[in-house]
Amino acid sequence: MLITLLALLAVSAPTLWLLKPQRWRHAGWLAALPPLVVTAWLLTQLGPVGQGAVIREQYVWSEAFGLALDLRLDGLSLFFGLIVAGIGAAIAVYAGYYFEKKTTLGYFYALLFLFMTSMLGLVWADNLLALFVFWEGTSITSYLLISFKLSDPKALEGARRALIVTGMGALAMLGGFVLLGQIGGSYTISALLALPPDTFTSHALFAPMLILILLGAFTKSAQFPFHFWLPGAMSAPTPASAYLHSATMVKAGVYLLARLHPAFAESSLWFWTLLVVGGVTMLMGALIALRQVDLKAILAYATVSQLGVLVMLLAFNSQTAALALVLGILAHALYKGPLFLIAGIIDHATGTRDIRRLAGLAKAMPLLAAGALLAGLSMAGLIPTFGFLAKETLLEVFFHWMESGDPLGLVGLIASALAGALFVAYSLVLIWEPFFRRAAPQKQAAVQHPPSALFVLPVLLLAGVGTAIPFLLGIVEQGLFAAPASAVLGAPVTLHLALWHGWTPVFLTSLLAIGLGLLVFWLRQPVQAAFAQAPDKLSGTGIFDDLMDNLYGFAGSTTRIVLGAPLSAQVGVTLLAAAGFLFYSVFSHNFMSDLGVDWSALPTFYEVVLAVLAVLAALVTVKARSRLSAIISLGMVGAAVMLIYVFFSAPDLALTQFLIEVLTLVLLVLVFYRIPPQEVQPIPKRISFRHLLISLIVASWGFGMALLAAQRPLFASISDYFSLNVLAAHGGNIVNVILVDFRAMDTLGEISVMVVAALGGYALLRASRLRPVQDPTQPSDPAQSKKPASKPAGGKHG
Amino acid sequence: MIALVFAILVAVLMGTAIYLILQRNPMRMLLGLGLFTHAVNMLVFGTSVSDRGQPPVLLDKAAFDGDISQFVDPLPQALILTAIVISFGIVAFIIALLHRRHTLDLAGENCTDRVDDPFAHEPRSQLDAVDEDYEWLEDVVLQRNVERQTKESS
Repeated sequence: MLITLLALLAVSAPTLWLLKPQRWRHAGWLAALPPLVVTAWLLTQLGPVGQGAVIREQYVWSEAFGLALDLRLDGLSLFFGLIVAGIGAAIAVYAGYYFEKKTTLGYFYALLFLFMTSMLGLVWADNLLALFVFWEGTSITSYLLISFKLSDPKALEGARRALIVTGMGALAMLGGFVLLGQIGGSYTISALLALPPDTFTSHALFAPMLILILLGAFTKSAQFPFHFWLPGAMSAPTPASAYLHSATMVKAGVYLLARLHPAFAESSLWFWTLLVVGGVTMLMGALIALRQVDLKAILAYATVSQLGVLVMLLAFNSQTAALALVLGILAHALYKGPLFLIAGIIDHATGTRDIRRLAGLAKAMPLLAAGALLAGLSMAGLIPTFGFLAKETLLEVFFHWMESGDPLGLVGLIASALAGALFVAYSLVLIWEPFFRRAAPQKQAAVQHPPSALFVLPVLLLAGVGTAIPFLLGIVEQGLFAAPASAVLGAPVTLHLALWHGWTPVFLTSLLAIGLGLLVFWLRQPVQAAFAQAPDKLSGTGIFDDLMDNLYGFAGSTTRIVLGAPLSAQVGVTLLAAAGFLFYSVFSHNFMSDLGVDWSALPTFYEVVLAVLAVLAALVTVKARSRLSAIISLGMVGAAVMLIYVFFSAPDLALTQFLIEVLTLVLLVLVFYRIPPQEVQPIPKRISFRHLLISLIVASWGFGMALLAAQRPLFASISDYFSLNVLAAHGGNIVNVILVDFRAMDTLGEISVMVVAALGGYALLRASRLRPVQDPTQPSDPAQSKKPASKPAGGKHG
Repeated sequence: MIALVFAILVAVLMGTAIYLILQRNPMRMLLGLGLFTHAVNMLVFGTSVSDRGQPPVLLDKAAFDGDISQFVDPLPQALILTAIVISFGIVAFIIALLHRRHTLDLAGENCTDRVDDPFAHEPRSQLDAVDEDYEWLEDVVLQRNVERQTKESS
């Protein structure tokens, strides 16, 4: 069933694109059908999975490599699946109105549904490698969605940044997965989690493995110091921002950590890393959000902050923390999603998202204001909203920690309360400033294009679900909260949630935070002014961009060093390196005495004459003044070499060499008859001397190499095998048999080289028959453009 | 002593080959490549010359009794046979390249080679500054530019 649902979404992607949904005004409702089907099915599973049932499916792909697509639906997967599919349905409806008959709607749906498939695959996968593949699927669709507006360079930059950061993290994570698989002996997540936790924590490779996996999770979930890509991702269309960069994809890192929590939570490395990174991210995101004026930027930094909260909660290994995590994820998805959608509608209606230009929108868009109120109050965590429930549980975690006698618990409690206060502040800013205040500080934007009720409906639905949940706790808490919390904890969780616990210390802390938030809201103008002074240079974006620029610069200069030098210099360096290597190996032992050369074998007189002849001819080739004499002396070398083959019993070589020598000679003479000698600048003396030195070094390299090669064989040669089995190949000429039988693949390679050379040569000769193309960068001067006609291209006679 | 003769032969062939390859003139580079082929072939062949013997050919297959000590080592010969053919392919291809370049030169300044030059966006002066000994392709371009300027001024 799980695979069918994934396939349904995957197939919907191209189908919706091909259907051209921009033709219908209400196309969004059609697009919402597939995710609604998934949501409905998942809702039917809430009961059984809440009772502890687990659905498993396995599709073996490559048995030999142990690769299989394992899908598994437990409490946590179901929980995330509901968020992905449920919010996905709302986004699909919303996008239909948001794009409003723009032709890009089909493309958007295609990407959206591909993302949905990847994301659901990610949370349902029970195999680390399958999870990685789906993980990358979400990164790629996210990249395409951020760069959706191709004409906007900022969008492209943001997309590139997001892809590089999450891609590098994913690469590290893959390394961590491999280590994890090696340590645990399996890539199946449920099998790994079934092992006793100290299998991992006491392993020598635990720390590198954990750090690599954390890198993947932190980059994906925009944790400090990798948080900067998320605000840059806000160039995506608003429905994508709401869905990917707030409700679902950025929680993939949190999901991964929650999934692996039972195995790693006992390690102190896990605890401190998550606590510190999450805590820093929480405070930093909340503070930076204060200085933003773009609605989406405020929401983006608030999202960063909330992700920090979730990561911080994962550090703890307690029932309350697991519960706070689950509540936090769902509450966040149900208020931040609608708030993003509201920002999109405001942008759509007024043409701006700058909060300084917005005021009094409640009159023109009362439904939207109601949605903003519901979602915003939940974000602020005021009683009796879902956000309140989540925040209470969060504070309770730190309160328990403090009660256990650790002073750090108090620090955590204060930090969380502070972040909570800041959340209250901008929730109020987001509700008050655009919707209810009388006048905007800057040129006020008017509502030119009020949204239809159907456009606002997804907002109200999501916010409404969020509002209703606290009042339906008795019905949903087992399946929706207890089951995922048990999966995070790795042990059964029993809970009795309630909105009202009485005047507990936690509630008082919460009240204090709300009071502080009100104060910040009251004093927001001086606070924002102070924050606007803060230096911009230290942002992660600046550092990242510098890093990338330097990387490109490094690549460029390396290329210039390696490839930019003249050919002779490059060849010289390569040859010297080779020679140096050999000299080292030769002089590392006693060369002359250890050399096993048979000095007794004497050459005949004619052989010596031939060698001298070849040497002289080679020297003449260098000194030759005319091209013809150089060609002839090269032919002399070839002839001498051919005769050497004859003298040393290699008839085949002699024949071939003779044939090739003649062919080369003919070819050279034929071509150079047509090409006049070329005048090139003479090489300066200094460089000429350098060349001579290189030649001498390589010559001595050849000398030593020849002597080494002439040693008595150090190990058995394969030649004897060839010779002894020559009759098995039905041949008498051993060399031929080696070429066409024993080493036939080498010969095939040789033939391929010849074919490529022949094709290339043919293409080059053919090309010169064609008239050369005009350089488009040259101004078309009539006097010049006539010239090729009067002087036909030289290739005509080629 | 045979080994010494071959070592000297290889050394001279390699030295001359490398000296030619390092030249600017493409023709001489080509000749150098030809000499280098001979050098490497002699290097490989030198491994089998100490033991003289019959050419590795069975004249009478029926009478072959597995006595292979009469033959010289066939393996270097098989390797060299492949090498000779491939080197000819390379030489022929380079000759075709030179011919193509010549026709482009003849066709004059109005043509482009339609080759993606990774340094196309770099100013030429910067490239020249890297090393005074720039490769011959650069010289051609410079020469072409000079010709164009003289034509434009006249």
